[in-house]
Amino acid sequence: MSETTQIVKVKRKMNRDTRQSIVVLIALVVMMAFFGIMSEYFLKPSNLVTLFVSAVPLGLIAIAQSSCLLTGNFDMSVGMVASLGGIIWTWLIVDLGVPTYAAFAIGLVAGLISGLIAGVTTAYMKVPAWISTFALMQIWNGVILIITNGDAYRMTKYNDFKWLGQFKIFSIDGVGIPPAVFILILAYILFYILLKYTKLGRDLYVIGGNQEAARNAGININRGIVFVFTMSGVLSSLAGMLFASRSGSGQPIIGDFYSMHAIAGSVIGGTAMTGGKTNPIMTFVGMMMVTVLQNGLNMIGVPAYYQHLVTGAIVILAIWVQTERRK
Amino acid sequence: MSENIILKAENITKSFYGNKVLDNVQIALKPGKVHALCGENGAGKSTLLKIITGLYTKDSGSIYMDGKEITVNNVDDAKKYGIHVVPQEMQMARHLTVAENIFLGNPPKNKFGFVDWKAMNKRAAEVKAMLGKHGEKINIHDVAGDLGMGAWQLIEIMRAFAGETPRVIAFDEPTSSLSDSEVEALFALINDLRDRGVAIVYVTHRMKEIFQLSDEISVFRDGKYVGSRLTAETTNDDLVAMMIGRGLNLYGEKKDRKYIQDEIALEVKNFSHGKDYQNVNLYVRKGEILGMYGLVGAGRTEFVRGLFGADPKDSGTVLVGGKEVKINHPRKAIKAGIGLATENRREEGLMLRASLKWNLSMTNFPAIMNKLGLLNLKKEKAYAEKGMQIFRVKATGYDMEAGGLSGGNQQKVVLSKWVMADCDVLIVDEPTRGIDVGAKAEVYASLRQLAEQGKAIIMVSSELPEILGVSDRIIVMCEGKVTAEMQNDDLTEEDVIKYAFSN
Repeated sequence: MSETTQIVKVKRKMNRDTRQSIVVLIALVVMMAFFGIMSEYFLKPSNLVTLFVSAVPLGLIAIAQSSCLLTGNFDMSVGMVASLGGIIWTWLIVDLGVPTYAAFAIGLVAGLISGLIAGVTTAYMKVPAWISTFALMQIWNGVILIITNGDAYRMTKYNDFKWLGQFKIFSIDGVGIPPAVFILILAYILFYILLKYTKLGRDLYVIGGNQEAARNAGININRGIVFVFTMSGVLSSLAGMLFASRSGSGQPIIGDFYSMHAIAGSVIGGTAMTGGKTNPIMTFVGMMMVTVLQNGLNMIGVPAYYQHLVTGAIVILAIWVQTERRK
Repeated sequence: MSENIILKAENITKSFYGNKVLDNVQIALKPGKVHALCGENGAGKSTLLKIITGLYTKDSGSIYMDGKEITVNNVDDAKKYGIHVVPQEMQMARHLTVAENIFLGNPPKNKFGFVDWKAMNKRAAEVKAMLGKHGEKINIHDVAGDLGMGAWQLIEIMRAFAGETPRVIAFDEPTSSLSDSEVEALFALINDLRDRGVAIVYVTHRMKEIFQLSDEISVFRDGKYVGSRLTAETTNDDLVAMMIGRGLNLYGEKKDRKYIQDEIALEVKNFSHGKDYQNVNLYVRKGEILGMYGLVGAGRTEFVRGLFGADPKDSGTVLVGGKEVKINHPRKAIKAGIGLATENRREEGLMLRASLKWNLSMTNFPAIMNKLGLLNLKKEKAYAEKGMQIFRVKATGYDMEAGGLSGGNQQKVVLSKWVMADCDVLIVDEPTRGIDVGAKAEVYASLRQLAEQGKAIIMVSSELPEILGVSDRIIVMCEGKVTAEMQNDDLTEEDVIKYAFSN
């Protein structure tokens, strides 16, 4: 193919990423304006703060999913691992009397183990990630049901349990900002540094961009893959525990839609389903868009069941738009 | 001259977003002639081919068929006029049969609108018969994925015969993925098509093929038409001069061996892997370029991949700077100071959707890290800037996506990445495959320069002129074994090639 042809095409491609980011930002603004017109409460500071606070679990899971997608894999189990984290934490406290923070640490370890299993089966045993994580999802579902019998753990009595998700560090318009929000912000800062400034982060791009090239450049592919899945497990479990702390209960089924919503957020933010491409800041924006959509649909009174139709359609739309662009 | 022209394109201009890639070019094809289209990477050959065959539409200019102006807006239009292309990247449904692939997208249907399998197989058999002896090896019921590249090409050609009688068939770098025997079969087929009066357009980088096959040559440079010649009246040097617009001494000055040091950079002992290669022993000194010659399948590529740890080996030891190193993964090889620019550079070396900057730095992260072990993006830019200049990669800048470069420039990027990796021993496998003459000279000069800096170079190649022109010492492999080792002092092609064939 002619060089000049290609160069020009690429000029557009280069701008394309920036352009898409701008389009996403505009879409976010338009969406917020729409909900603002439809509901007088939507744009009130209290709702906007609530929006941000409620985005914490999905925000963490979106980091997990973006990292997996970046290496050309994806993690179906994130939602179930979130549920697992919340359940293990509350179960240890309530049924086994483990101190809150020790139980919290064990919850993180559970996520870590789940991620390690996913990573090792994918990297070393060459089981396709979506299969191994799909299977893991079922396994954890079983574990959760065995522990809970389908019931939730109510945690109203446990004050230190609620600290992460409910303690008001300060308030805006009457809505408290809990420590969980700072965990989210910190997570994104670390994610940004990881991808932009560390060799490991760059390795992940190369692994997803061209695995063979990564191997020939001496990059440890298996280590990279195990790393993203382990990170995914820990973040998902953390997300589930922060959700539990905020809601004051351990719910057996919280994460049904997290996997899909996290993919939606990542892809809207420009992460490639085929690997090799992601952008931490835009992942955050994409994730916020999903959160805004859900919150807005609530505010204008769309029943929960119908919301699924809308978010499902949005996922397909987002991936379609991205595929279109690559023509 | 004009009386005997099937297809003529005149004043063809094509721009992509304001950038002219074809500027007022022309071509005239005659029945029963092979017309070679030459030029460096990015000269516009492929673009013209795509305009004639309906993959692109022209901005201005005219295409005439039998003297009448025709409009070709898409591939189907072109097929109606009997214009076909055998593309470089062949389009094959791997799980379908040969017959299904011939009629891909357009299977014969019965009156209910369902696929008429009987008619399809019958017509496929007819198409096969049209190719006479060339079609004999292929069974129309075979699954495409089980067949080799040669067979795939045959299927592409059969597609041309599936509809109207083909009048023009264009071949875009058809031999780039074929073995020697497949090339031979292809040439026989092309000669046969020529005898039947088909006008053939042939795009290639291989000078030898141009002279072997073509009747006429048209040369393009930077999107402009340079001129046409009868092949019989043109020499290799003429052609190179037309293509690059100046004379060129491909291999540089006569070699000066004073840079070769006594110290052995790399020594390999008793390397074996199954049938691929057995008991290979070799060494290369600092400042030396060791040429490894052999036919396709002689085991050179397998050997260097085994040495680099990219593929497993059965046995063998590697000594770098006199010390033994265990290499079972490219990571270990790189750590030991060995680099390998693989044969399939695009597939095995590039992140197509990442920037050139990232593609260049991935072999040498230590060079762009700061004291804290974090990537220094400023350093990386400077690094990439330097890397882009080694072979003068044609791009808009280091932020450009690698997938947007032409094939030749992609090759250059992968080579640059390894040149920049600062390896003590650099192995290059077919370093000039798919790149144009101008860039070839740059590759040779760069290898020479690295050697002068004290690096040891192993150059694997199946191009004898290149082996003889560049190496200080030559090793020949045949059927997995080293058959000869010689100093490259006034060797002729015959001296070397005789060792490449088994007795």
